[in-house]
Amino acid sequence: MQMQYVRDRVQLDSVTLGRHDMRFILRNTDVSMANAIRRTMIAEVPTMAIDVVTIHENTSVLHDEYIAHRVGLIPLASGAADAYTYNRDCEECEDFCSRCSVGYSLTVHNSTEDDVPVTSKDLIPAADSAVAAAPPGDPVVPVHDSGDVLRDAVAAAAGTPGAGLLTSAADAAAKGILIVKLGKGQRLSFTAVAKKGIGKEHAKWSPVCTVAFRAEPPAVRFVLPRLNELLDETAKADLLSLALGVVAIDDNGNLYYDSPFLAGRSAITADAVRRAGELAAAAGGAESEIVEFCEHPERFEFEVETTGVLAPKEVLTRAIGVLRDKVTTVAAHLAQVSQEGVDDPPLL
Amino acid sequence: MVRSTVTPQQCRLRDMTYAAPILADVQYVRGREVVLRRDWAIGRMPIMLRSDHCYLAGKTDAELAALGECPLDPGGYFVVRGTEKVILIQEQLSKNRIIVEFDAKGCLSASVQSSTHERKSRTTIVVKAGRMYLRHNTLSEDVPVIVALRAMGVETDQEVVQLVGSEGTFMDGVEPSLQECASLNIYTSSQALDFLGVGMVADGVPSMNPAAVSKRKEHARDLLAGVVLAHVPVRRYNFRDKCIYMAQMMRRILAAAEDPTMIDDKDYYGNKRLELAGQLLSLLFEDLFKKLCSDIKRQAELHFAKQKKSDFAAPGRRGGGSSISGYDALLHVRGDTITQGLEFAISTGNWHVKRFKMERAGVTEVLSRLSFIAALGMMTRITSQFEKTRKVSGPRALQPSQWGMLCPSDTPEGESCGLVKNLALMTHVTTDDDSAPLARLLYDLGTEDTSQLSGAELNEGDGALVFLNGLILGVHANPPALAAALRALRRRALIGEFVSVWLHPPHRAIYIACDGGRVCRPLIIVSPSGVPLVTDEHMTGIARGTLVWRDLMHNGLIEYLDVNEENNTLIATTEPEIMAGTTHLEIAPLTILGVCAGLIPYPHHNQSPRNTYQCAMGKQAIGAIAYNQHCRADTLLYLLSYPQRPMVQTRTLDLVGFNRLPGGQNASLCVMSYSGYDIEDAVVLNRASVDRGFGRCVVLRKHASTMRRYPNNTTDRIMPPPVEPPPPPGTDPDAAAVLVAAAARRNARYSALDQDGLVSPGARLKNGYFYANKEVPADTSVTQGGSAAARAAAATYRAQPLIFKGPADAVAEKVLLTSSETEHFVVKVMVRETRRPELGDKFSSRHGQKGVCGLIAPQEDLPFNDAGVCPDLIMNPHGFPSRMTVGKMIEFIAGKAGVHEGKFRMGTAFDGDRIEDCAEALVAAGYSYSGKDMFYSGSTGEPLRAYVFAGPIFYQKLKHMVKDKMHARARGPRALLTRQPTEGRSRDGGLRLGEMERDCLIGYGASMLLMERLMHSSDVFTVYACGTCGLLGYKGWCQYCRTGAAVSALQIPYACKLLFQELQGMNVVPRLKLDDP
Repeated sequence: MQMQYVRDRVQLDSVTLGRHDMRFILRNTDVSMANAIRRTMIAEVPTMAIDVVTIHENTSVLHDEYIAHRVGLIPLASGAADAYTYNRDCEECEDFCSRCSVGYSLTVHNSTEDDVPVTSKDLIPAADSAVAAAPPGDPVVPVHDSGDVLRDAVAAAAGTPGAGLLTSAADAAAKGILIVKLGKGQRLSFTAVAKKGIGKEHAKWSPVCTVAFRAEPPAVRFVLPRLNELLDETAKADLLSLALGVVAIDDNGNLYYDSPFLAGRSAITADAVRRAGELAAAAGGAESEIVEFCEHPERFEFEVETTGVLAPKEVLTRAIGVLRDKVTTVAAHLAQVSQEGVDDPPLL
Repeated sequence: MVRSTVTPQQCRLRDMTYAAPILADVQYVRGREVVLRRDWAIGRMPIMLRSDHCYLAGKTDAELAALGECPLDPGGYFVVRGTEKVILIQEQLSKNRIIVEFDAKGCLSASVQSSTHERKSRTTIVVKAGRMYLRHNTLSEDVPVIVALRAMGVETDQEVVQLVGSEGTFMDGVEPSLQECASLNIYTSSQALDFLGVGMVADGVPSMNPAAVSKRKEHARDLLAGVVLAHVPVRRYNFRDKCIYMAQMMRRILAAAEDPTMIDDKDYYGNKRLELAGQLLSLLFEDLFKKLCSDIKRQAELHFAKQKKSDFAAPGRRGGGSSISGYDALLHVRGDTITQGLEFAISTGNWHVKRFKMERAGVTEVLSRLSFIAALGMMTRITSQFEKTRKVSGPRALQPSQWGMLCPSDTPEGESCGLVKNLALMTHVTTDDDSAPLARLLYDLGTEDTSQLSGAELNEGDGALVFLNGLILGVHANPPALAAALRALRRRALIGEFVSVWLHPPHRAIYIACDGGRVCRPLIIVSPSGVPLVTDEHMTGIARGTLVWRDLMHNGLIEYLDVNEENNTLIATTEPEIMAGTTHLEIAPLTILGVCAGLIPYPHHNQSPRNTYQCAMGKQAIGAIAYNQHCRADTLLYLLSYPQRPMVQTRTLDLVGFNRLPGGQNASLCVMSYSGYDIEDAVVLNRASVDRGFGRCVVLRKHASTMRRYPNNTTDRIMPPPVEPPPPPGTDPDAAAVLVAAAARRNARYSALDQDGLVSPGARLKNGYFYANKEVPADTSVTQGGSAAARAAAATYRAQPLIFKGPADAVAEKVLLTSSETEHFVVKVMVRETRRPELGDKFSSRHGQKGVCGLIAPQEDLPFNDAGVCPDLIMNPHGFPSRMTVGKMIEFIAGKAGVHEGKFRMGTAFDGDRIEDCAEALVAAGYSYSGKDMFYSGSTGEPLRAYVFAGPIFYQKLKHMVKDKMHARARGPRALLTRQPTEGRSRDGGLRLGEMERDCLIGYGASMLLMERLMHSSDVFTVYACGTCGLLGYKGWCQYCRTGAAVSALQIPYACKLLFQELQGMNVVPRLKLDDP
């Protein structure tokens, strides 16, 4: 494979940064790097999520496992996740301790006549003495705003810099994430323990909702100026029938790239290429003139939307950190192997 | 008087029968007085839920909820001994109608199944060698039909011909029969009766004794009057009507002989009648009531016979007379004949009515509560009494006359295919209506009574015979006018709305029916000028609630037509199709489908068997069952954690309430090949979707136990779990902890129990744990001496804890303590298990495309599109070409369009949103009109080389889950008799190496493997066989030879040894010949 990219030149341009979403462009790298970042963001950025729920009393209509599952999916602000150890690796405790877990409790009794919603706002961090020993950083608390509540407000304030990051304000205004609605006289009480984990283990530890990227330039492109020059109106209409969503014809009768193509939602099919070649040949051109082929895209437009547990920028930073750690580990092992000789690789 | 109401939900939970007392006023003689006993309860009648007599009738949703009932529950079933039972609709050939067909021997015949309150009988007229014969069960052999006519008083040939018809064909057709009659020298009624009378006595030489002759004539006449064509009434031996009827049968045969189109089709749905629960129950009740009456009579006779005897024995005690007079018949009646009989019939499904020789099994079925649709679908099910084994296609085929009445899709596969059917959405089954007023009306409208008419007048002219429920009423001179008049009266609701009027010119007849069991359906009437009578104005009225269905009916805008009357109509399916001569318009084309097929979006684009498969599969889909699903105590309940309304809706979904109790989830689906674990219809699931709750379901299982009471007044009891004594004071804390831990380990199986000895709700149950610490008395026999209380107190008990057995840990959901009808204490424990989809679980879309989960792939490995969306489910495109489920593809596009517009799309049959509109919506949202998107590979990040068809599809999780099926065994229990491994998963059985597998091993020559599989791993047994006598010995000793010299040990299957011994038990001696010792 030709190494046409210089690693030092890998560049990142942030296009937009919102409270929960971010668009950025990764330049001068190849698809494997882009995809590695995407995959790491989904599956390997450590976050905090509730993993153990001990139900003390549940007279709601939903059964214990149902509630436990719902509680597990509540996003917890995980800015401090790196400061925690994995519960399974924790040497300080047998069960849970403040180094590897965060405790919560919830007790709601509906003494009113109406239904009472129990939300993430009712989830209170355990006020035991161990909190003092908790690792530094932002507290691990539920994220009440699941993204849509303040979207309007954020959009309105978009003019002011940093308006998208009004975390506390957004949280305060949000209604919280619904766990269950309690009917008259019903009661729900449980304690919960949040642990550190990664998305590979369970989707609740995944910090992102979606990560998408698309490669620029696309693998196959038409040389539109040449095509416009060569083809007459009927030929263009003919091509259009095979390339709907890729190209369109403007008022002047010229072909231009349609929005789905530009958005990476559609691509030029083999049929369209063949037809374009035929049409070009008929018009006295050559197939090679009108189709451009790009084997190695060099620009990747990313779109990340988080669950709210981490700021989007933070997700990217940590994902890169995870990747770097992995590569470092491999490098260290490689060094070890080359030192000890290839013929005698360490068993185990 | 305390009145307590019993609600269906109580009956379900307490294993009771939902029934109401039948009260009768009884007047009888007690001694010298006549007693009138009012409101005497003769038994209890099971009540159909939501029927007029049901406690739930007319209740609002809130009231139903307060009674623990689901407002969406359709009712229509019974609760018998705690189980919900449905009496299936029974299909049978209609009674009292002439059917002309070929009989088993290929002879043309006209047969009538007569049915009256007293008896059922079948009368047939057959043609043999051009002559017509009467065939009937009571006649030992076929009798010339003219003889029967002669016997009924038609003595001249002219009369016969006139009755049948004097047209050339009919005259020629009757002639051979007349000749035969003449050759028998029968010319008078008396001769004919004698002939019949002789024919009835099968054996012996007929006596010429005048008394005997007159007796058998008498007998023959009674037979003709009462049994042959029993449904045609004969008053004071006036056979006129019966003669006419018989002549009409002959006429129909002759017409059919001439013109094959006149032969009737048995499968034509107008010739079918559906028997509903009410009819079946009334039959049974009548039988049981008569049994009760005869029981009362027998009891009384027995009593009086005894009394007489004792009076005779002790004449001195004349005072005994008062006891005779004081005998109260009602006090000596077993009161539960009717109750038990009805309960037994409904709970077993065996319908035995001796009078009608009815012996049906499988009339009832347990209501399936697998999904809401399963329960609903069961209410519309029709079974026919046709034999399943017969290899005839006729009764199984879809008949054109079933259009709109029965669902064309919903029928099971396999042996009962086409025999079990389902009603369409709007079908109504008629109930019996009084025919007397209708008969009077028909006479008033100009029908001439048969008694006024000669044979010639019956069959000549433009008139037609008027049939009412199969009986000939008379002749009407202008049948179209009669039909028009009747229809006009019906539309003004002056006669019953379900009266059917069928003009049949080929038969020269007008058939009017008001009997029960006909299927009919409503249609919009179209005026002669071609305008449907129901207008937009009416529709807004209905929407506002100012108009109801009944108003439309009474205003003559809508009418119910049965299958027969549909023959006189021209029905347009849609409004633009109305043309000259159109009489009716379909209300909605989708109503030709039933409830199950109504779920399918765009079913008219699918290959028809796919819709049939979906009809079967929709019933296995896990979803919500009912609003009261958590308050129920069913043996097995599957519930989906997050059921969703389908993105692509149909009108039926709203109508039946599926939207409020859905049975599946909208999965975003990619049609592509992925990983190879998707061959043969397997699907790939997204692990993140599964983590977030896709396909998550709850399995609730009931474990019940009754606390029995024994004759010696002891009962089963539930005791608290054993309490370990605390460690003695002063023990070292560490040692104490060890002791406590050891005790906890020892009593782990009791750990789920509460202090009352029952499992505490919310407690976790592992395999082998106890859910109730039950004890039974060691001695349950009746013992003498001591007071009952003392005996009960002194009884010793044996532990018999109820053990939870399950493949996985479960949680006790709730415990129900109650008493059953017989006052027995009942404990029901509902055990809950939450399952997430795993490899091998079965999923299906709504288009008959099922598949098991072949792989659960992590989200990051799955393809994603420009929005970062990963599919929840990946399906292999090979599922499409051979299945041709185009409806599914349209569901993709409609669903995707709906998602992007934020609204539900409609996929109603024959209607629904047009695919062009959906495609436009897709284009507006920036997607390809084709529904295909560009996807990137999740593992490499490169764009996939093809567009991927993607969108939301409603997916059902089916009840078949690996967890309930997986099974393996290394060693385990063995059957007692043969010592071979037990059979079946539930008994932890072995996996059978069957005959065919055995054949393979033999063919391959793997004798040692064969030996291992069939003997060593099964029932190997060491026997000692004697080389001298060849018999089996014991422990190296041959008892027969009295020596152990030639005895050698060998290994044979225990079953073989058993065979030898059983043969010996039958005096057959198997001897083993031993070669080398």
